Amino acid sequence: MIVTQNKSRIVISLLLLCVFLTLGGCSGNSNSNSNTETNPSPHKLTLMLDWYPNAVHSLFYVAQNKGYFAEQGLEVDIRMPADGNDGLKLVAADQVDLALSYQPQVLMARGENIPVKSIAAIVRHPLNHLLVPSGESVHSPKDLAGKRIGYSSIPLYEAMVQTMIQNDGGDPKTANLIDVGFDLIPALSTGKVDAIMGGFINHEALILAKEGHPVTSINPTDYGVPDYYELVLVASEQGMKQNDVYLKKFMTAITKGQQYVQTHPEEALSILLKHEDATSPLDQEIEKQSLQILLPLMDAGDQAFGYQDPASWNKVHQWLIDNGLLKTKLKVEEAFMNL
Amino acid sequence: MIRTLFKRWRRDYALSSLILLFLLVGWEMVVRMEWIPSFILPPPTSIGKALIDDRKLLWGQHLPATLLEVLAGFSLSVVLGSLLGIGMHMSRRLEKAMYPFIITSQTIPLIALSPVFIFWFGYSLAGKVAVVFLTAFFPIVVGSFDGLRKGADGYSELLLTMGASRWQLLKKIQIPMALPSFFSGLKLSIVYSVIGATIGEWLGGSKGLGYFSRRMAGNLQSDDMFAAVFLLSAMGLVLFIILSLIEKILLRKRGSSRYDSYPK
Amino acid sequence: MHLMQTRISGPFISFGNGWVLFVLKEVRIIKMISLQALSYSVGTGHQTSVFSDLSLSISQGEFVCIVGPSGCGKSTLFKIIAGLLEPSKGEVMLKAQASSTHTRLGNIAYMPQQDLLLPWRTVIDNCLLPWEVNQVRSKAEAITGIREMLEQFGLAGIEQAYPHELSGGMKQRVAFLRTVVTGAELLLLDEPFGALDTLTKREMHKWLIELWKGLNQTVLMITHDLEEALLLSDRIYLMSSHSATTPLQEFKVDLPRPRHHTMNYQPRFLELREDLEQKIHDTHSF
Repeated sequence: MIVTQNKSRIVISLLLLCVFLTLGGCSGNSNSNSNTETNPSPHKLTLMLDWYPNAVHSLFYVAQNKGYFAEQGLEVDIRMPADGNDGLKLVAADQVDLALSYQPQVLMARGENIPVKSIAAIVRHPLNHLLVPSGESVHSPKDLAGKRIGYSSIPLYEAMVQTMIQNDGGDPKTANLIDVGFDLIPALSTGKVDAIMGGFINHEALILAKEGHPVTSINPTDYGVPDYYELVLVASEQGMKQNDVYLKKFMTAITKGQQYVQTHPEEALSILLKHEDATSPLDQEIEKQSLQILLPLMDAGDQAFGYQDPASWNKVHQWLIDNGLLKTKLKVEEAFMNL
Repeated sequence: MIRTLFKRWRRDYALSSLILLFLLVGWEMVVRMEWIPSFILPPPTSIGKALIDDRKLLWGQHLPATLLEVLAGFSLSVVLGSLLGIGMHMSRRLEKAMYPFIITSQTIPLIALSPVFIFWFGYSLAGKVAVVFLTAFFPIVVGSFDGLRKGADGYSELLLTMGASRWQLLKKIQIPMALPSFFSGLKLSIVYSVIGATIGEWLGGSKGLGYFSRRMAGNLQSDDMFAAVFLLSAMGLVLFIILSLIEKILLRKRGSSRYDSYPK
Repeated sequence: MHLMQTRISGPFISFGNGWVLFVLKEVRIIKMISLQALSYSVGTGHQTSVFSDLSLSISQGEFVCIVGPSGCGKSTLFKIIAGLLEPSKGEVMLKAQASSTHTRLGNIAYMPQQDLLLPWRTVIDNCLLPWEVNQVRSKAEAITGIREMLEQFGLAGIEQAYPHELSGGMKQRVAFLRTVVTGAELLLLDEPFGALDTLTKREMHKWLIELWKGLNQTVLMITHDLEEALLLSDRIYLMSSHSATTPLQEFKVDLPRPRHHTMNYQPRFLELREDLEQKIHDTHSF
């Protein structure tokens, strides 16, 4: 009896030791590079995309390819996520330096005490429009009353649809919202839903049109949803303190990159296509159309590329609170910074 | 009686319970000391809190939804799977015709099939039950078919000399003989059913623990997500235990210790 | 069991000692089973002969043992007789009529080497198995019959027990009961006491001898045990390991009926035993 008790104690202690060792190993993985200005070897930064490489990411690949990063003394490793939400979490955990996310998500993350900050607005207006089959019965959000709407898992999209219906004078409670995961396109093309939310005008809409299911897009900002930044560049609070200088250099490089994309879209696309992910090959025609849609939406006009307007942040913050997506008020000014 | 049961439980599971306790405590400590951020791995205490705070949603709405899919899909798998197993046993031709397809059905990734499923079933309960069936029927077919094929030659010969027909052989010898293997298949299948229900909900839906966990992941609420995952695991475990108990009761009379060696 | 050897015509027999018996009916010899030039080979292409040109016959009511070394084909022979295997050559006559495996299956009771009691059934349910397969009378009648036999066999009170709760000897007796309950006139017993220890075996012999007085079946039994063969049977067939080439040897056991389990100590028994062993030794090469 005593022997077996001793044995089990040893087993338990060994198990615990293993557990702690493994966890210790995991946590020791932060990106710590020396912070000297006169660093002869380029400073490494990791950027995690929001999705597989497509037209919107051209500026990064151009900056890489054309040496704009190197000019700034940077070496950027561009990665793909396994899941769209990964980037934000990995940035917060300091596993990557930068990630792409979207404005409402940044606020909601901060609401969950995830310490991230947005440093630039890459796409300044929503790409996510309500998509309905062209020529059919739904012409404006109020026509969605009593219909089925597919959305891609994110409660934010649910709230957007409900705002749109209500704003247009319809009853949002009668709409049947179905989470269809990433299968937005089959959902609409098979007719199993009457509209989808979560499809982008520069992607799903184009694909559906190409497959013979032309769609009409309804802009959420026309119906009560504040104009939000669809794509923002995010860093962790910790990362910003450590890499402040390098992040500024990064912004300079990608501003130059975006300029090139604007003036030489064809070349930019061919650079992008060289970096397509083997498992998600790009359709040249669609990416061309996509870029044409994107360029005006990425243009900051008089302001520097990526400039973030505090008014926009406040409006989005308020809308999230009003729709129950944020439980407590945040200090909005802490959510973003213009570098 | 209760006392002996408790004593036996203590003897058998005391060590693993202790290990579990240590792991939980270790986990809590690791997150508290911020070795792992809590939005990636929430500590057990906040998962427990989420289980209680959102009980109406979790226990009242999503758990029953997933449970229904699991039970419906599992029942369908048991009925059709065992019929198929018996059919394949009785007819060589059927066996040779069906077996390749049955095995292939398991190797097709569900992602490839999901648009097809959406097309056929839409986002109804039927779609989820179909996914559960796809994942759950295979162990039952294999369990019944292999169980029926097993040994039993001596018993079959004996019954033949009494003048038994093929169907009598099936009913009196082969099916009772196949029960242990069949139950093994059942136990595998119920666990797969839970996984299948989760995947089915991910294909598209508006309720269920799989749906809820993904939604919470999208909302960056990891404690709710883990709470849903915990409930899914618990469901699988409880159902497995129920089946094991049924197995024990049904097969207890046979004197299970001598059970493994059948004369040829 | 007393064999009637002569055909009687007329109303009586007179015995030398002055007794006269009035015969009320004729008695015939009935050949229960008769094997004629039976051969069996296994394998495809190049076939190995298990035995060939084997002939024997057994009359109704006889108790006959087959003795032989392992692997000489005894069990195979039984399976052919029972109808489980098709012979390569030769005829099996059942009650003086040609038969096929089809006609024999279900009409000959077979008790295999292991008791093969279904572990998920109680004793009484195991014994009901032949009735379930071939329902000749009502269930109530079947159960009554079985219960009576359980008494006879010394198994009263274990009706509801499961096989794993019984001792080896009890299981053999239950298996024997199940064999008898099939109602078949011919019983094939394949080493029914082979798995038992010596003491239990002795008990079984005693029990079977007692039982045999009341039964009127024909029995063909395989055994290794010479004493058992001599004690129980009227005749013994010797199968050699070269059954492919050597014919069956017959050995008559002229001990008086009804037998008694202590007969194995009697001088006549010992003589027969010596004789038998000699015969076996002569025909088998080691």
